[in-house]
Amino acid sequence: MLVKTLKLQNFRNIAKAVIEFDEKINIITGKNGQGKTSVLESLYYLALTKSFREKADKVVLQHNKEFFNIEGTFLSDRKEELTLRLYFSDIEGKHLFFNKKKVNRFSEMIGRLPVILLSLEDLSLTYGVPQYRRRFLDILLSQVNPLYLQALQYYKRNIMQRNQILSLISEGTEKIDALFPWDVQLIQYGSEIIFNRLQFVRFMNDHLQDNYRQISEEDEKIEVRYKTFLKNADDQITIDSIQEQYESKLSATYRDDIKRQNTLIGPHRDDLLFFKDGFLLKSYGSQGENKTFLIALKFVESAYLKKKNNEIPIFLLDDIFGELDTERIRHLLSYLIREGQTFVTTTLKEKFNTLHLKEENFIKIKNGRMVH
Amino acid sequence: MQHTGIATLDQLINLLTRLPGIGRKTAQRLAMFVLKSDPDYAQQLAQAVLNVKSEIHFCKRCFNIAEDDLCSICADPKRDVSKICVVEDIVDIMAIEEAHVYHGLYHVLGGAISPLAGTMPEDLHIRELIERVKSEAVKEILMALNPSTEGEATMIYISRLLKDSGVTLTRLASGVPFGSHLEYLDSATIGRAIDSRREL
Ligand SMILES: Nc1ncnc2c1ncn2[C@@H]1O[C@H](COP(=O)(O)OP(=O)(O)OP(=O)(O)O)[C@@H](O)[C@H]1O
Ligand SMILES: [Mg+2]
Ligand SMILES: [Zn+2]
Repeated sequence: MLVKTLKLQNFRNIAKAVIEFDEKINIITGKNGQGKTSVLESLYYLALTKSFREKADKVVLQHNKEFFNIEGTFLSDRKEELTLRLYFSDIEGKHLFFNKKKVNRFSEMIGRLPVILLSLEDLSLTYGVPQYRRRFLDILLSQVNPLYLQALQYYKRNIMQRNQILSLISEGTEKIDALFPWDVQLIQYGSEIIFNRLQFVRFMNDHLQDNYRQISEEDEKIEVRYKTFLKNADDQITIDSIQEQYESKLSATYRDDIKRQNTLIGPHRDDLLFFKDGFLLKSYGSQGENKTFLIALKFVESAYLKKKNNEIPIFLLDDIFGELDTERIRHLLSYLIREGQTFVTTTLKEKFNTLHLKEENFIKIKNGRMVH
Repeated sequence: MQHTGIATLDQLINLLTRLPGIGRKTAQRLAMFVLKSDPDYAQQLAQAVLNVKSEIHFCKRCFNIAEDDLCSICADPKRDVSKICVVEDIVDIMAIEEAHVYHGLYHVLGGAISPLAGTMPEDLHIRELIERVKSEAVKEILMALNPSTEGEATMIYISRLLKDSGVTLTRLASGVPFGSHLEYLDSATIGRAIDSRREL
């Protein structure tokens, strides 16, 4: 997908702007608080009808204005010209238009304009708690496989019901036998989730290494492992063998489950571990290495989504160049140029000086206005 | 909560509010309607409410609604007594009957197992179902429960109880609804239908 033009009205500190983009690299520069992130945010809004930093639409509406409007023209990989427009006003609410036609269900549009965002908050993927990594897996796999989403929903509901039974058993109002119908389903849906995640981990390992080396140009071994209660958990494992192990593990842990009134094993407890040369990245890796890894991970995400809808996503990279040296930035950009269209924000234009970019690749923003 | 200050009117409003889907505002409107209507209507309405409770009750055998001891389905000699279709709710019987393809008997559980909602197996008519399997000439039990975690759990629970009973246990196929266009179905439905495909 290609963004050709973007028209903004009353969005954050941008009162009015019409921006034409380069087909490959767009570097949005400016001092702090000038509106760089807001430009990325508006593209994200068109793609997903909401912001990545704020829940309420009202917050991005410029102070003392009645409406905001975001309008983009696009060229799909099949060379169709598309337009998307998002309009919001306090009174009329939020409206989305696709090729000038009103879109009734926003969910139909999601995925039409595939975007991959990388901002400093994504560092929680490597540094943060396991929940972030499970969320990463779940969101991505659900987008590509609706059966995964369904299994996940059933699984979550089942865990809630099972935990309730565990409490009742520990209070003495129910017998251990009452777990049975929930355990059967836990094993069924839990195994399906783990199986799919393991297949994706294989996909990651097939791609990550290359992606990482393209940026770092050093011979480092990058590896992802899925941390779970199962033995020999790799992409070769069959669903049957997962179910078998699951069952015997559950019968070994149910007493602890009752004591804690909580289900202690399962995909809701699993994690992803990232390694560089055999050492955990989050504990041993430098900040630059962690960032390099994250970028490589985002490329995997992009490759995976591309498989789904045959459309190369646009990349939004918000302020992530802080710890990266010029070499890595150079490799990253040359990689991105091959991939698709990229939008980058930075306060450090100097970092890009030696990269032989053209004037068209830079967009300077000052106080909400594009300056040339 | 505002009150009208008139005790009899307030009582009617309070009682109406307890009906499912009726909020305070609606209850007030309904009460005002009754108040303004002619006396005949109020009389008929009150009597109809009483009749529902005194003349209709649940079938002793399958817990469908019935006017006599047995419901019209259980009392119908043309029904195939070798089959029992297990449903969560009476409205499910109505839905299946409208299809005119099933000619066996029913058994209404009165819900599905849900610990979070406080519904455990002993709160449902499961024991009675097991009794029926023992005492009637049942050959097949068709489970027609809702496709939810709770419906599934109930099915698993009952299946285990009936494992050695000799009856055939079947369940509704999860698949593509007849007459629907594939392009309008959500992909999860299509996915499950492909997973549970049959040989032609
Ligand atoms: N609803 C709004 N109306 C007007 N101005 C706003 C609104 N919301 C945010 N702003 C202002 O818009 C400006 C631009 O914010 P933005 O996050 O885009 O800056 P930035 O260029 O990315 O800065 P940084 O380099 O610090 O990340 C900020 O000064 C912010 O205070
Ligand atoms: Mg910013
Ligand atoms: Zn009956």
